[in-house]
Amino acid sequence: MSDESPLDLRTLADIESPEVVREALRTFRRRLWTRYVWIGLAIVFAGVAFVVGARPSDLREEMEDANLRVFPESVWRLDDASVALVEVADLGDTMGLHFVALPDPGTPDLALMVEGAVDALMPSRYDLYSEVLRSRDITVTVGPSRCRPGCEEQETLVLDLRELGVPENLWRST
Amino acid sequence: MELEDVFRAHQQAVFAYFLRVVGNRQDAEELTQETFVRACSAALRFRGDSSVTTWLFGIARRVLLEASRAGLFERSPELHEVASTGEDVEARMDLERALASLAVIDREALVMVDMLGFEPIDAAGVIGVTPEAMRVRLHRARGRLREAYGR
Repeated sequence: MSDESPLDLRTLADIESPEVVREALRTFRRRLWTRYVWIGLAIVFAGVAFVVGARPSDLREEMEDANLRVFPESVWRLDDASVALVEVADLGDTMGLHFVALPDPGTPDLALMVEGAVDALMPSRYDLYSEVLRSRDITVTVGPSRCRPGCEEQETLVLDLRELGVPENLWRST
Repeated sequence: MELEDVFRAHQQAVFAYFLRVVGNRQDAEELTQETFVRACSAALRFRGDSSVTTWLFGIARRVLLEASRAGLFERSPELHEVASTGEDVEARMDLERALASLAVIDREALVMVDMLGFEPIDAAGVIGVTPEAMRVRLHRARGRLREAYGR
């Protein structure tokens, strides 16, 4: 390498610098504050999401979370279908009922209706979740899905929960 | 020594580094400010393994790299006046033009060592190259500057 001395650039460093330190410190504090706000918001959102996620979003989840659940596994045979009451759950002032209706092959889909239902959910064509006021007797109407209320093809089942072995503290009104 | 005082003591050198490497006063000012903002966060992690100057210029260089990725060097450099000290202003303007005509990699090496007075080994640490590579880079940059200055 050459030993030739380099050009003297030190004079080029002689520049008047603007005042940036104070603004930099202000910006730092502002960013820090903004970061804390975002962290705070993230914690709040996570908390809200946790609470919302922990709450049942529909009748099926509400029944799954119930303290008292019984599984009668009672099946009724109709002309061209089978209907089963697979679960009864304590929902406080009300009861949750889970029915499964299976039409025989080649027969139309069924529609189940529980008398006096205050809420209902049909997650599939065969499942019906229904919330009813506490009562020993439950009236269920079963018929083809195309059937209008009162049509001749409908059948009515009256279920006696006591006879099905459902504990009294579940169906007796409080 | 307060952090603000430390920054203030280095403000002029950091600004000069950016101005001579970037070639634009407004960009240099923004980059200098960003360097000190980041240095505030990094100050807690500073263990004193290197000098404050080397540490600050390490941050400055990262800021410069990020800015270059964002297209900083696509803007054309501008010439700026040097503070008048009664010396030959014309000669310094020529020197400034010659420096500005070099590639960024050459400018940076010259600015750190020949303008700001870094030891080549410290400049190598800041830039992230070996001392030997730094010496070669510096040698070539000095040759190119001399050539550009002589035109």
